[in-house]
Amino acid sequence: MRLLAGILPIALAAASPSLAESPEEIFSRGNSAYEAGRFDEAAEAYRSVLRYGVRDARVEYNLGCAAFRTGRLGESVLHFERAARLAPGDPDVRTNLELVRSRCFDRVEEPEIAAPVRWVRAAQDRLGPDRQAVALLVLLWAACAWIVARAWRPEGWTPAAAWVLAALLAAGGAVGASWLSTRSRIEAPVAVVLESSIEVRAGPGEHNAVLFTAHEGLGLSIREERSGWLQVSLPNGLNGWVPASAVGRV
Amino acid sequence: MTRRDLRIGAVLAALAVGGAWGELRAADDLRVRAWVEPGPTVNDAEPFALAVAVEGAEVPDVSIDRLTGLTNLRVLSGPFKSQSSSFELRGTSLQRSASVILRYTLLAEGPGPAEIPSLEVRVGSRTMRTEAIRIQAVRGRPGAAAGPQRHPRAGARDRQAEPADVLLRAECRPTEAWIGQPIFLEVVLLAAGGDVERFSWLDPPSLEGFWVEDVAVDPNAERTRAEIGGRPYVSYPVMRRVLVPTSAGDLEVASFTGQIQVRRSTGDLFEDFFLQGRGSIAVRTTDPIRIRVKPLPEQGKPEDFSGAVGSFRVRATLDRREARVDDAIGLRVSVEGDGLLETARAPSLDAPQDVKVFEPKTTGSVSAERGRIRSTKTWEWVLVPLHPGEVRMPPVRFSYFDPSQGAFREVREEPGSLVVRRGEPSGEERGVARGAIRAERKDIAFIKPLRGELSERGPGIHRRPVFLAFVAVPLLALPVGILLGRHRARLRKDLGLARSRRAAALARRRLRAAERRAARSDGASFHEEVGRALVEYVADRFNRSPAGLTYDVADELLASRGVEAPLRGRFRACLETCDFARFVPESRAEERMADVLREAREIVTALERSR
Repeated sequence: MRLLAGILPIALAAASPSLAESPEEIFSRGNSAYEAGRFDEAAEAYRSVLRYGVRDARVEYNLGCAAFRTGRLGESVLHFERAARLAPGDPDVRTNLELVRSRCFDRVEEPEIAAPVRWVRAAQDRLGPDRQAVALLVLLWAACAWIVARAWRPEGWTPAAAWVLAALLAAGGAVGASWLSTRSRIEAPVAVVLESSIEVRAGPGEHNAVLFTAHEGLGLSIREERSGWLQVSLPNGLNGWVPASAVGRV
Repeated sequence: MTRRDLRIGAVLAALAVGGAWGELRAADDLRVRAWVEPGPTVNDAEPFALAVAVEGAEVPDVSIDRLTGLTNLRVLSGPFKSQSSSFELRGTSLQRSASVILRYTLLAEGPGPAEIPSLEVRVGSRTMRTEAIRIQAVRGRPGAAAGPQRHPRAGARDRQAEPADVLLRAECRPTEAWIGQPIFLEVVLLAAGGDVERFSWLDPPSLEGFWVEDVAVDPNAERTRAEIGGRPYVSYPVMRRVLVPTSAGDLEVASFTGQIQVRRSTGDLFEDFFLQGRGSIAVRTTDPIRIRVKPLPEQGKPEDFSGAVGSFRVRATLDRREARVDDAIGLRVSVEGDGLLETARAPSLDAPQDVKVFEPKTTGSVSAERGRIRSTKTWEWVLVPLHPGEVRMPPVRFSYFDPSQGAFREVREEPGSLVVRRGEPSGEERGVARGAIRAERKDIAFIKPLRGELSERGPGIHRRPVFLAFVAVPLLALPVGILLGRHRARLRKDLGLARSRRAAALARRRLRAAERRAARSDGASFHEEVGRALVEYVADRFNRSPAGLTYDVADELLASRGVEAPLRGRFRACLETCDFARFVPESRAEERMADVLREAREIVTALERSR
């Protein structure tokens, strides 16, 4: 029995990232290693934190920094992208992501986006999907309360009351559309090339022709998955199939 | 067992014995024999047929496991099974005969004696054996003299057909080469006097000592006419390959053997139309080709020799001419030309000190056309300038061996220069005064510290149940609130309705007041309150003034709403009791008041039910 009691903690410690430390302690240890210039050790600590199921923008961000310092551009882009999804309004995440992308080999011509659309997207990113969801909820409650209140009032619906309701509904519609748009943008399936270069093929299999070569750090939109292969596309219209093992999903 | 049972048993036994005897006789009738077509003398360039026939009145399933033990022979194809049966009238009886024939196509491996051993033939459940067949193979003469044999399955109608003339020739260019120099191999099928219907290779050689690249070929589209010995031939290219010798010495391109099925016109319109002419199969072998491969000379071999042999040119381009410090710049170097670049090393790149160079990515392609192999190989480097200023890129050099000159060559190309600015826009670009503090270079922002606990949820409040509850509650409450509001407004507008809705509540409140008076033994006041509760209930319910509500009027109002006579009677009796008790002291007993109160409550409840 004593033997079992001794073996069990060891087995559990081997199975889980580290039972002796909490995620916060491992994160702090990673930060210390990073500050001391031991970037590989820091990256491993951040990866251990993620194995706990933590979904925190700080962990993804710091792992992106550590991966960049150790020369793994693809992994760095992947974790900065994840951090951007968890904290869309964080300016450090945006700055680092932009810089790491500038170091990647592939340059993809993206279609020009009109200035108003860029502004709206920037505002959406600053707010983030959760704040927009809460705003939508507040507007929904306000509109419902206003309708009920007018039903209880003896004078009923006056023109002013109707205008207030229209304004509430319009604001709710706008916030709701913005929320859905932000969600669809942030939750769109995207993959990042992790290997130094991969061949993008015409079909899911090695026997298909190579259409083009994608290099480490390139972001690819996922369109379909089939037996270990992903159909991906680029903003310039190019598309093809890559092995799922060669990319990381954001 | 009865006598009848014995008789039936005897009949069944007789039938069984008869059946077994018939089976045995049928088996005894079976004969097996084997022969070769056209005869015991064959040549080693033409296939011939081996036929194994089983004949009898009834022939069950026939099979041969495998042709083994052949001497100086190999099997090209088979077995092909055919069956036939016939009936013959002998005297007064009709006799049936059947045969099953298995046919193989064989080829002698060389001149000399050959033998087909005794074969085991499985006929139903029996195993039968054929006689061994001895054959004499003579050296075949590809072409008209030896002549291709008839198709082994063609039958008697081919016996008089003139042989078609087919040749298979292989050619290598050049036959003397340097290590790494591409050699073009082409195998051509020449046919005269018939159309080639089918062509297939028999055991193609492995071509050891060469790196082999297949070249696409379309025999029908690329066929040409040729004349050999004054006879016109149609020439079909059936194979093209580029061979690259990987070691020095005398190498051999071994013989290729192909099986050709030729069909030729007989001149008989009927036979040509219905039987598509006459067919024959021929086997042809190319002569082996000897190739002398020379080693590359050591004299004049550059230190950065790439290993490529052929004739090449190089192109080098930068993806932009201006950049900032720490930007990634692509340098693309392409080498293309005649020869193979599969194993060629990257060109020499002497990057300046203030440029960081990452490992190149490599892509390449090989194609062959018109007897030449063309290769392209591209190396893409990522360069990161570390300091501002003009970076002059030195030429990219690629050295190779030119087999036509027998010497090493070097080609070079200058990618040009690069203007590198500081990481941040310059002062002039930003419109700030000179001397302003600027960043020397760009780098990623620093890591984030730990403040508070780490989150395990991340964003996505909409995925949480509480969010859905907060959405659902106002949507569900909305119709309820609207209905309540409307109801309230309606009561406010319709006083009669409001009184009617409040009637029961008010009556019960007055009955409770009466109960309190009963507790104080105030009988007169109690009965007055009960009577008032009943009268005002009817007045409220029918939106009437209680002042002029007599017994008769109240009875009429209740009757108008369908209240049944017994209940109306109880209502009137209760009222009369109350009026009477107010003035008759003898009836003020406490138990009497409790009965009156109970009766009044039941009446109100019953009247509410009858609404």
